[in-house]
Amino acid sequence: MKSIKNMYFFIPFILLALFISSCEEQLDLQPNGDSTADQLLSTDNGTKTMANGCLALMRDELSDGYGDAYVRVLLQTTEFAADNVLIIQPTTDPLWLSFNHEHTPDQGNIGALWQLAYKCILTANTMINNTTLDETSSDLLEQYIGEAYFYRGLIFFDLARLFSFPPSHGLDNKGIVLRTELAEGDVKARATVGETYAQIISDLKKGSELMTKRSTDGIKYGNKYAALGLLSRAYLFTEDYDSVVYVANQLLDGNSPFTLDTRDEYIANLQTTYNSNEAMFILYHDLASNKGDGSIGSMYNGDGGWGEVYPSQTYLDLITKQPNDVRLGFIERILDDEDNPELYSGTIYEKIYITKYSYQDGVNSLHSPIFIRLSEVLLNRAEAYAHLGDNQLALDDVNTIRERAGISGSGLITIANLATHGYNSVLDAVLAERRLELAFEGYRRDDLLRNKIDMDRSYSSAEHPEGMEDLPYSDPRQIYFIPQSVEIENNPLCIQND
Amino acid sequence: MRIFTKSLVVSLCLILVNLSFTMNVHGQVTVTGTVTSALEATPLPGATVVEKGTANGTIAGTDGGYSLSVSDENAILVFSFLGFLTEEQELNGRSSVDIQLVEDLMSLEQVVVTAYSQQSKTEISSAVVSLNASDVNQVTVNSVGDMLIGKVAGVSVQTASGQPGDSPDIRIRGVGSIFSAQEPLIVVDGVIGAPYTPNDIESISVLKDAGATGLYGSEAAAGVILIQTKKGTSGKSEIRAQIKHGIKDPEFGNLEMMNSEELYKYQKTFYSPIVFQKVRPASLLETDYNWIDNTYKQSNITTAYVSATGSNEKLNYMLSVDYMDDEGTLIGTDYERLGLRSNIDYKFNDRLKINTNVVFNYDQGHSANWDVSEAGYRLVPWDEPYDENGELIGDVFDAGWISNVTSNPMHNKENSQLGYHAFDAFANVGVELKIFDWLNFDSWTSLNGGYGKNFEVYSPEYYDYLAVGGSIYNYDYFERSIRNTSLFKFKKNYGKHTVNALAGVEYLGEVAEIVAGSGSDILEGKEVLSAAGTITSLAGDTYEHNKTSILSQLTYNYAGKYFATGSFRRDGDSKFSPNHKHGNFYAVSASWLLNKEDFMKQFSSIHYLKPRISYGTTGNATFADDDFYPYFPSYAKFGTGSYNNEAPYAPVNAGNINLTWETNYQLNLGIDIGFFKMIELNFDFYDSKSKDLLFQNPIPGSQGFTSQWANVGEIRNKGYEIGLDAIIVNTSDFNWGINFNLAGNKNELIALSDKESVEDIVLTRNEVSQILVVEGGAFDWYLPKWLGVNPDNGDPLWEDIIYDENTGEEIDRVATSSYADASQDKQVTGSPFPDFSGGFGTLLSYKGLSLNVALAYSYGNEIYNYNRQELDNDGANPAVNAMKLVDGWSRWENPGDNATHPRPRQGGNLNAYQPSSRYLEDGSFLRLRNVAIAYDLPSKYIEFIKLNSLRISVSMDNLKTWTKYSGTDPDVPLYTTSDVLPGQQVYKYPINKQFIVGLEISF
Repeated sequence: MKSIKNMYFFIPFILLALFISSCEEQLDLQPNGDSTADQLLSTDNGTKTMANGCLALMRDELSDGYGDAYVRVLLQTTEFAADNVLIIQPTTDPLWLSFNHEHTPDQGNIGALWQLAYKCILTANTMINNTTLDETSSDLLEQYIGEAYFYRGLIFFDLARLFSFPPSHGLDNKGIVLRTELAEGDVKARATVGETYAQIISDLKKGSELMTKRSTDGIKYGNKYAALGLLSRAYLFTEDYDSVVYVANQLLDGNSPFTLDTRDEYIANLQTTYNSNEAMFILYHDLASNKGDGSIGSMYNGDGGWGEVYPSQTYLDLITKQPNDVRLGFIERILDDEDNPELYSGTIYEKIYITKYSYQDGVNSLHSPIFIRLSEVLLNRAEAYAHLGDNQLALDDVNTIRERAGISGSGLITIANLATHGYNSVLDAVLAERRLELAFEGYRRDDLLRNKIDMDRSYSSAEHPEGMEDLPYSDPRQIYFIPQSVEIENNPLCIQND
Repeated sequence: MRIFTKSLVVSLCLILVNLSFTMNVHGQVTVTGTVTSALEATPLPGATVVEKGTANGTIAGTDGGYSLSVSDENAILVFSFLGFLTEEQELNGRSSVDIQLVEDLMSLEQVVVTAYSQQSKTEISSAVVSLNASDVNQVTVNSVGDMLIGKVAGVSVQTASGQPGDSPDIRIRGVGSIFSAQEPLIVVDGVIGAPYTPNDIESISVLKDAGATGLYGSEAAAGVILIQTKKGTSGKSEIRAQIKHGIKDPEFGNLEMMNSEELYKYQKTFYSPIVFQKVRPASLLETDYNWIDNTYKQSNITTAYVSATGSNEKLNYMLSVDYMDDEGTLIGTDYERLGLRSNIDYKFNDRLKINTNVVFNYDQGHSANWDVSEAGYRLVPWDEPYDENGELIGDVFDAGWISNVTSNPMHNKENSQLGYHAFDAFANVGVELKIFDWLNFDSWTSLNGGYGKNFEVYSPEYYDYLAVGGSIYNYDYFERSIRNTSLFKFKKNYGKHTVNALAGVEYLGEVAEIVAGSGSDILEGKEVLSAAGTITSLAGDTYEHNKTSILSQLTYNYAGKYFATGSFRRDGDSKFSPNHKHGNFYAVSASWLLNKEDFMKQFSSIHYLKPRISYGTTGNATFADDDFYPYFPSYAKFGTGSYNNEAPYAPVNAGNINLTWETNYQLNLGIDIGFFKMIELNFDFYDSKSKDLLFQNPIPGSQGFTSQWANVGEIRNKGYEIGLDAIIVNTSDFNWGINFNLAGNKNELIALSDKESVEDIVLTRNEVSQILVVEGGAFDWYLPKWLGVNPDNGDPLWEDIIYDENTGEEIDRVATSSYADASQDKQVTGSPFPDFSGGFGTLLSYKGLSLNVALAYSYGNEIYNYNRQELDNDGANPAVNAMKLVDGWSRWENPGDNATHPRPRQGGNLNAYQPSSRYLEDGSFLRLRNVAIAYDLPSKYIEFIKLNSLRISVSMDNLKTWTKYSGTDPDVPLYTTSDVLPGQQVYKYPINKQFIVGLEISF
């Protein structure tokens, strides 16, 4: 009996000893699927995944984002605030606030855009600050770091467009929160508009120098030409017109691999943008990232989407002046069984869909939005020429676009026929052409603000069915509030817009 | 009294009797008979029978039978049994006495399961509430949380959803944490997180203070719920079968949507007449489709439960089969469960005992997409889902719908399937080894595996996936864990001193593996990924977590009057960075059983009086979505996980290398008082401080994250709890008991950061905010202050605070109609937490008939009715249906009107629908939670069919709720997620009114 007792007595202690000896190493575990930035940056391939991360951050929404992807919010809050489109009925979706200009400091779509933008900037900053480039660095590594500069510059630029008045309104105005270092502390004040654009230009330049190589599918990623294209836009904002011309010239007239899409391929290529010859940087969407109802095209096109935002009357008046204009191909009037215009039920508006953001690979809600294309560069140069007084050069560029659209003869603009076309100046003609060519791409608001032109709101839209007064270019609601709860409540140095 | 307790008590009694009685056989009369329980008519083996005034006695055998020789044919026999009222019988010449003992509903000898051990109720020196199955099993539910609604002071239960199969949220003693999970630890038969089904529950212990929970250390800060499952009854083999069937109706509270005519009249008030004629032709009135009635319906619930139990000296077994078929009230939703359990204990010899639990559970269910569940609120009654031929409409644009949707929810429902299958296998093997009489070694090891699949299938006809030919999503997971607990248990008496101790180790290793994929272009009717023509995403990951612990406890008791306990636990956890992997937790408690003191004898009405005190620390280390590697600053694939077929990595977790446990320091003062053997009152007061709060600390969004996990600040919860149990009548025929509980809790934020400059933090979800202010409350609503409606023009008014431009001091407060101005002057406008809450009820039984009524209440909280931003928006979205105004509300119509609602305008009246205190509402309520009536047929009617018992029952759940709240249900979750704040009501799957009949037999 005694011996049995002793045996029993030892077993538990042996078990316990085994347990305690195996304890400590059990507690050292690391994630299998996730990585640290250091782990990723230790290889070129890992660095690439972070550059790709910037793109995914622009394309996809936060896990609780309800469709508020960066690119969608950007394209809606810019385009819906201008005069190319109307909305057929009110909605409690914050996109409504872009139409009626009753922004709130906490509107959800802007908050989501802000979060995604700065996640992208954090990623870019981590890549830039934690990588040392030297002679031994591979071309690919330089490309990826160049992309980081490019994405950062692009996003700073977009934020400046949304939250600040352009430089022409004053360089000392409030710019954006310029985060460029990793350990800057919690709070940071907004830079001035001047400082903001200096940073944008510096980032785009640096990017254009470093980006020399991406294996394939160049335009789906940041690249040298796209950086130069954006640079031409940035100089237009800073009113540095000589630089606009200088940079644009590096891309135009056969100096880059890009050419204007021809009239015949125009509609198809701008819908399936990866086929385009003029698109310089697109945010690639495939079936997996197809946003369906939440796609950019969904608000414009009732085929598979909401179809509640239509071209404004003033835009229709302009585009229909030239019946041959290929760009009419993006405007689709819906007719009922008796070939009469069909009303959107419950509203006073005829269904006129916009298909610029639809039909990539034939899928109604699929599209890869273009961030910069050669036509814009050409029109950037045209506007610069107009400001420089090089009127004929400006009109030449405008007519290049018009001829491509299928307009000829008296439809082309000369200094002599400016008035018959209804323009007071060459700049007017350039801005009208920009409106036609870049319609629905979010640039109209910039064009008016930059050139200090009030916005014509005489057309009918659900927020003002009978039309309303012009919106002055200096109206504080031309720009958006910095997200109150996402930024300002935890960053008291960041001062809210008026 | 629980069967499990009985078997323990039996062995105790056997020992006692053997020690204290000498079997005198000097009398002339031999009395025989049986001792049975009055209620269940089951034998009471181990009951003592004593000749009054002598040491002469015996104990009843396994069949309850006894035989005793007494000295006198007029002797008095005293029958007693632990947990039953003692009965005296004069023999008066009888030689046979059969006695039925009545259960003592106020028994103090009840054995209560506590952390890693069990104690009698009188020995416990901490705040523990013990419930038997019969206290909570009247409701027909799927989780212990639902059983506890309104039952225990300080335990609040919120039903987040009426979706069949969903579990509610349980909160013990307020909000001790901010972001970290606050769900109590559930321990089943000694194993943390083991599976159970409500029908298998024998007893529940709710451990509320640190004195009780301390031994669970780093996992116990939110309290602990111990569940014991059933075991065999000594000396009796029994098969019990129960079937219940009932109907359920969804409960929409005070919310009523407009019908066709009401909506038409309402919208007419805000459109210009010309536009209205065009956009709302009178022909709309021909349709009045009630979306709520067509998406929610009366449905059925059926449960069946069969158990076989038995026990002898060697073997104790309980086998059960449990089935539930719960159809949802929302179309297309359902839940089905099949559970098998085997609890087998085998005693090899006096030194070695093996305990086993084996459980297999299979669950499956279907849910519905939000567009179906919310169609009833959102869609206007002018649209109907079927065309003139009775076919489901596929294209709502063609059909000319007014509603703000792109597709027909009914068509979507027909063309989609959302659901899950889950299979759990659990086994636990325990060894109890008696090394010496005073030293035991107990060790139990469990394996828990869960395999499951969540799936979504959208047919090629599904509107959103028309262009891509349908879609399939599969999420497969395999979770497994192993746990071992090994303890030495020591027990020794030194005269009047009794010392109990335990010391040992615990290990947890868990792994979760997932594989998820989606595809499009699917073959109609197929539900597997192989049926997809294109795979659009594929992901797999493995998450691991290990934990090691050392634990110990010492309990001391002097003369059965003075009790003290101390415990210590050291945990090591892989969740934290190398320098922060270990944490120490301790607890001490003491109590004094005053009623055993001689000087208390004069207060004969008080039979039980026990002051208690405890203090201790517990921890919390749960991190919502980042639960495995919270400290790790990490990048993960973002969005769809692929950019042009390459991996995109983006920052997902800011990480924090210094993260450690949140620690709760809790002081508890309590007193238990029993009067007249009828009433028991429990008072508890607690003061708990949670330090190093695990907090998703908001940081400026420009840093790339809006928050970062950190140990930030300190929160204090002070509260009181009152529990009352009274058995007013306790006889064999008639019993009447009442119970009542009340708890109040107040929180105060002591600190928020190590930086003194941080005085408050604002949390915002869906643009709605709460604030945490140092030296103020936590989670107070922080909103633009609504001042009502301008009587002159019907415009909304908020409060605008004017500050001096130079000094920054407040100069004035004015009413403004500019939302942009007011929303920069958010103000504290109420609290989401109740001032007090609790429940009460009564139990009446007469012979076989019983009536049980339970109510739950909550008072003084404010709910943010987020849904009203959409349903009560003054014309901001005329393509969404509107709710009817509830009593006391009015719309502005003419100058001079003092209205609650602004003048409606197409497109909204100046942002009046944006978040503000306009949508805060009083959330107080009283709910008739359950009324249950049961009848046990007298045995004479069922003996001939060989039944031991036959019970018929009727039970009604959630019969009525009294509240002023205008939404569907004032029972709003009190947690913070990435979507909602505590007390923020979003669309909720409504709870059910249930009416259930049941039949239970045993043989």
